[in-house]
Amino acid sequence: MDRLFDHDLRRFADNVRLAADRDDAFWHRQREAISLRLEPRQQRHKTLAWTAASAVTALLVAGFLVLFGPGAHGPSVPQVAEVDPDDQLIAEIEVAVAQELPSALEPAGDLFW
Amino acid sequence: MSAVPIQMTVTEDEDMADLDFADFNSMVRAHQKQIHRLILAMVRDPDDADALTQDTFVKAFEHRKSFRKESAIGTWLTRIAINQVRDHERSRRWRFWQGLVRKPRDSNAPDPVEKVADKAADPARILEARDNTETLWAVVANLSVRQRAAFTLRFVEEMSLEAIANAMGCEVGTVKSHLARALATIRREVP
Repeated sequence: MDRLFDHDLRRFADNVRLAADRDDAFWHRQREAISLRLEPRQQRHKTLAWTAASAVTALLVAGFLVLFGPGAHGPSVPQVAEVDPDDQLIAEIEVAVAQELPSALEPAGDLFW
Repeated sequence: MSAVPIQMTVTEDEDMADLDFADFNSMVRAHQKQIHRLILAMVRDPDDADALTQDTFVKAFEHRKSFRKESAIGTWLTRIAINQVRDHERSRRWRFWQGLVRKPRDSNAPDPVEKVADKAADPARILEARDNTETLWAVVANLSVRQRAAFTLRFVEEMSLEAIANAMGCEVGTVKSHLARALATIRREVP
């Protein structure tokens, strides 16, 4: 690289450095501006984290209730009263005995009375 | 809303993913001048340079988990900055408005070329130096983003070819090629 061209490049570099030279107040303002732009993102990040944590907690509680809560042993089935077949038979016999005629012969009974 | 104060010093060894807000601020303090200088050399406009420097750090914070320790934080930030400049220039809207609202340089502001020039030098040489530097700025501004990045990192930041390749995410040979093309253009355009 020839000397003159090299000189121009050095001058250009010095020129850039001078143009970029700022006082401390500028750098401080720039950092503040960056912080201010990042703050909502931080806030949003925290909100998202809280939301996620709340959702996970709610899921855990729901899971716990499903597994160990009052309804944990299967769905409740309406209870049907069990009837003893013997008792049912006795009841039917008692009804039949109480009748003057067996119900199947009731039409024939009309002929005699 | 107040800015979060800077409290800690970040070392290159720290894991970026674990960086909290205050640590990040400290990292900004350590690198903002270099990133701002690089961007200013590439876009020339001080307001754009300030905005893009902010964008670079905001982007870095958002993507801090993607930082790999294979490179230094400065190298990683340099890469983000170059991408920010590239995206900025790709924006059609920006190009449109650039033509309409570009402010002329403040005539009362001190001329950096005069500040750099030797006080004892004769006025004709200062004038010539200013012309050449102005022309250089203009020629550099018209280089492609990658040529401009390679040129600035080499001649302003004085980085090694390997470091430039690392920052640009390419091979050393590619950096050499960008530099050769940039220098050829500058030689052709600058008297």
